[in-house]
Amino acid sequence: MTPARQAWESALESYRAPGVEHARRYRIAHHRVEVRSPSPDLLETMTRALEHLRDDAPGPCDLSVRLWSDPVWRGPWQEGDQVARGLLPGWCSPELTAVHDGTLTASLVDHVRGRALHWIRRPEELADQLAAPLLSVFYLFFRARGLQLLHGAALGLEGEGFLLLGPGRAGKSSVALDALGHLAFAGDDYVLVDPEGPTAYSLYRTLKVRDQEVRWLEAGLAHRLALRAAVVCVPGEELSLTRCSRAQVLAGTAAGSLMLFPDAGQPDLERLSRILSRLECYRLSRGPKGPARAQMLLERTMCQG
Amino acid sequence: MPESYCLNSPEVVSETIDGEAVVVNLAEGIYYSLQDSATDIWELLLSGLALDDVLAHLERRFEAPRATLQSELSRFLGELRQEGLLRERPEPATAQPSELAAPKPFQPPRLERFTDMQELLALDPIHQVDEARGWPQQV
Repeated sequence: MTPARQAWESALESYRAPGVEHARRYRIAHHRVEVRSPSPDLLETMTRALEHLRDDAPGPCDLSVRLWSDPVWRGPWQEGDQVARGLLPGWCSPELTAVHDGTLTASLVDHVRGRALHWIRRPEELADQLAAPLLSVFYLFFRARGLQLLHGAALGLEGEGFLLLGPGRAGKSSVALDALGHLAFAGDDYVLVDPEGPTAYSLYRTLKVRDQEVRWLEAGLAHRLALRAAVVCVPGEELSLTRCSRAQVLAGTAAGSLMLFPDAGQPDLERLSRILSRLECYRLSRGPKGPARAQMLLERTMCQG
Repeated sequence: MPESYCLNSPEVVSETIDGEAVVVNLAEGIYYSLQDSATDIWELLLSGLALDDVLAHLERRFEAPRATLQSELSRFLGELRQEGLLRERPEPATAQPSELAAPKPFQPPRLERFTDMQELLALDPIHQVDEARGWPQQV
């Protein structure tokens, strides 16, 4: 048995122990996704951020995720087997990727067969993860289908919109927060992008208010936005929104979008570049007046021509 | 064997758009921007040519004395290696990159370095997890 298969069987054995399964279904970027768990409470907690994409219609699923909690299971791997971003290269195969996100969760993703196992040590230990659950699972599954998970926001009006990107603390979350009620959100911290179009697809209905606070959006959500532009937020003294090169946007967002996901690398950067090559690129300095004026400037430029 | 280099992958990734190169060191959380002559040198080095051939291409592309180009190539290569962006190839490539129609003025290459993403790396769940509070709370 290969290490990858051994890891899968070990996880499946731990998952099967409770016996009964509960399930919910979603439609994410044209893909049918099913999440199953022995615990209805855990299922509720872990899928709260996906609720706006709920679609319980019967039929085959493209991705089936089984999630469970087990405070004892640790996987067959050893502590030193993990590399950056939790990847377990010695426990992966061409079809299966194993990720141990710290000591709290682990994901095994068979992106060829469209199935995944997601282990959680103790649900009460999960904090901000609940705002963006199953991140590694979705990144790996959608990457295999040509979609790029981006660290950034997608906002717009009437089905068209723009990406709001940038390095940490550049102000994109506060600008996005101020756009609430003015623009529709496909996503705040994470968004799925199909380079064809390109089109942004919603994944989570959460909005980061501050580092430790999350707002759960009930309205103003867009399931998809045809992208027209990409805006990179940069620190600056004056409020300005100016055209810039695609390389400037790529530089401002590539590291953040690649460093958060396991096994991300050169193909992801090339896909990002392909997405940006089809968009108008801008840099936004929100200046000292705060995000409100930046939001107005964005809305005027991006959504009113 | 003549000296030649390649991208230090998979830790380092690189993409060139419209004459500007973006390079990301995923292991260190640092990204770089290269423009003008820096992009030319970067692309020539990534093509795997021996250093003598890289210099020969630079002479055809830029209006500058060979000694200046050689000195700047050496300095810039040292900087790229210092940052861990390149590693030595076992042997040089033989394929030749395409040439521009006419030489252009030469400005010394610059490597712009950005470290603001390192704080994201500090949130890497593998390295900095508060056992009691969970990811992504820093220790």
